[in-house]
Amino acid sequence: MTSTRDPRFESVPPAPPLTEGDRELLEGFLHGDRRATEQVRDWILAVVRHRAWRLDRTDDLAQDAAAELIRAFRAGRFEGRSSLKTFVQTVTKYTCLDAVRRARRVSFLPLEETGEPEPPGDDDPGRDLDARETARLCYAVLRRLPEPCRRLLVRVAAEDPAYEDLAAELEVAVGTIKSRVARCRDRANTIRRRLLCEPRTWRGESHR
Amino acid sequence: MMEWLRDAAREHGEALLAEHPSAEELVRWVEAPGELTESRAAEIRAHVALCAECEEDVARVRAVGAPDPVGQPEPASARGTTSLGTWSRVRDWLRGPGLVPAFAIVAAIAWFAAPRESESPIVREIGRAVVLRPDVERGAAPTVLRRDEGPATLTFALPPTSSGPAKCAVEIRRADGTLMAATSDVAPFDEFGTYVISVEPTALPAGDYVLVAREGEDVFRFAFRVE
Repeated sequence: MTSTRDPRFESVPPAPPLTEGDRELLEGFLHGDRRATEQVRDWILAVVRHRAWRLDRTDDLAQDAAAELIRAFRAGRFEGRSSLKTFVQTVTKYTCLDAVRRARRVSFLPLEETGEPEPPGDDDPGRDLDARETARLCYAVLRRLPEPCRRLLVRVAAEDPAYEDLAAELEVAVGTIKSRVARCRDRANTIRRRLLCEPRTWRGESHR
Repeated sequence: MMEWLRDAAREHGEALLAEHPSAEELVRWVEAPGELTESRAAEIRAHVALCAECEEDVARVRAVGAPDPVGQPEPASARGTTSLGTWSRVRDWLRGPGLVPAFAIVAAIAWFAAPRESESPIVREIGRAVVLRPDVERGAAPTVLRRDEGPATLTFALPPTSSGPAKCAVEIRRADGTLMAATSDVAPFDEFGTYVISVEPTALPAGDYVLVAREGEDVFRFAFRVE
């Protein structure tokens, strides 16, 4: 197995030498030394049990984190850039975060649910949102659309291209493009109206 | 048309189409942004500004606590085992190919004496980490061990008991029940009843298997496949 740097994390200078304490602890951990193993386990548990995750299955999480840690060591991802404790807890944190994300259930609208007309502008309950809220709501709406719909709507909204140009670019008939835009727009409007009734899903912490 | 989207699309453009950063990237962005490229850090910053879910994730990571300062000495372990030697040898092992010394995350985690040791698929080497879950047992998502990926370190959890986790016996059986390997006295890794054991898939013919864990009178089965 060879180790290659992850290009996402490529900008940093070379890692400083590992501290003597970390070196000994890691060797002890890898040798199965009881105290070193318990130390690493305690670091994992301190993160996993934090109430901020709002997760119940801390036993599963500790298990996942331990497995991920072995995987990370084996892949050579611990370079001594941070302390061993920080590395262990960072790995545990993103393991927990993955669990949070899995637990988060976003209900997507069924694709068949289309065709609701866009309400008149004066009736739009989102008309009073500020720019930040509007952008967040847009993102939340777009996340709930299929990828082609998402791209098409952003393109049309940002650039307002002629249907003929879009049709030529996508090599489809003009009528097809018009139909796609209308269908995606209707879906987006339906989703948006629903989300306006559930502001917790898109407003964010500062508004709760 | 869609006035509500127009301004946001013009201001944020591609950021409105961005996927969530991975959990690892988000944690690093919060705690060690210098480890990300500047462009990636900027992308994540723009994304978090738009995405309530990621903003919530960031708040959680921050709540769990800031990392220790880099280079801060850690308490030395009080180990009494033989040293591997230099750190470079440890790192070489961590990065090295499949043949690794008998190793002792497993030793600390699961001491065992496999029958037919020289041929046993149960090994002491640390391998690719694989988690076996009860839902795998039910056939929802069979776990696959690939023979060309070298040893696999299996972890599984047994239900809690009133007296706490105890040593268990482990058997590896083919789907037809043929016993391929067995070991007793596998100690729990932690207080939650997590157990770890390493397997060398090349010692097993391709096919479906069941890891059978016996704890007292209770028997638990975890399915996996070797390809």
